[in-house]
Amino acid sequence: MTDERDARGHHHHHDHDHDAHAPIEVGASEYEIMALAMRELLIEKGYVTAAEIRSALEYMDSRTPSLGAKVIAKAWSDPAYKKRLLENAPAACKEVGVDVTPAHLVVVENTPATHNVIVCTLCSCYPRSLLGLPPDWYKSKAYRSRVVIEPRKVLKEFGTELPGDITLRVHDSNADLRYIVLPLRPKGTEGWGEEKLASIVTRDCLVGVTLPVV
Amino acid sequence: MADQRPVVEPPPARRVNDIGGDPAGPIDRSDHAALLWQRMAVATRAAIGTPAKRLVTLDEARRASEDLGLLHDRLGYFERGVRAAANVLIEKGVLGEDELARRMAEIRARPR
Repeated sequence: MTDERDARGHHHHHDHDHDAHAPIEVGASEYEIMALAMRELLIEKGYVTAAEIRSALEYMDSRTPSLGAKVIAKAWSDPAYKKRLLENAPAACKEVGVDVTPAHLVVVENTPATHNVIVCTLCSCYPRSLLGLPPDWYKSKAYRSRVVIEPRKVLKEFGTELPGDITLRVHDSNADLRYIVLPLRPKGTEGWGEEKLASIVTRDCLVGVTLPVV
Repeated sequence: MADQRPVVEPPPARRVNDIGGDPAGPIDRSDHAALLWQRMAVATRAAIGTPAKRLVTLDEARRASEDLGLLHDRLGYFERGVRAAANVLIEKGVLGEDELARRMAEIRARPR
């Protein structure tokens, strides 16, 4: 991203604009305008700076499922790390340079007998530190309503069919406690390095709606 | 002698966001990247909700979102977040309701 200042010291970004007084799109919704109005007033009154908002945006954009994949690949490769991750996920994530804030994080481990799925029925709490913003379906009423009563049917919609003798555990997240799934390392990945392992760990398998595919 | 039976209170009414277990249709699995204004709105809430500022904390935003009543379900995820954060700021006297409305009118009137 290119970044420069004009004569008045304002920042200009060429690919997208973080200026509080940015022109808005024609046909902008009521709430897009409300968000801009709120931001302008907060900045003018000195409650927050444009730079603080920009840095929050950059932090947010730096959170992607590749962070979650990195942590899981390490857990698959290093049993001692996996043990630490299951005992204290925020500390184990920190070891690999991933900050988990502000909510606590618990890693739930799939085993040959148990499969885990995560949801937030009350809103859309999600392990954003490791996965970024949640996908639309995770926030949808259909997913939030149904996954706690008919998880097998929901998983089937994602193309995941589990044998009937596998126990399915659904974990309902909240603002203070988020979950992420540690999938089973698939067969056929023997001898793979962490990077190659990370390449098969997708966002959806860390939510528990799919399984990693070799 | 006073009646010793325990007072049984009716269960609290479920709030509008409390939908776990409700029947619902198929899940739309299509993905859309968040728009810039949506990401900016989330970033703004985050920037004013830091432990140092605590202007609109995550819990306050969640409570205000649940308090939206009928509006809760009519709004999308990001729209709801904006309305909830604005309501918290208005409740706290950080922003005036009129002031926000005036600024929105000004923005609408700006040349595009």
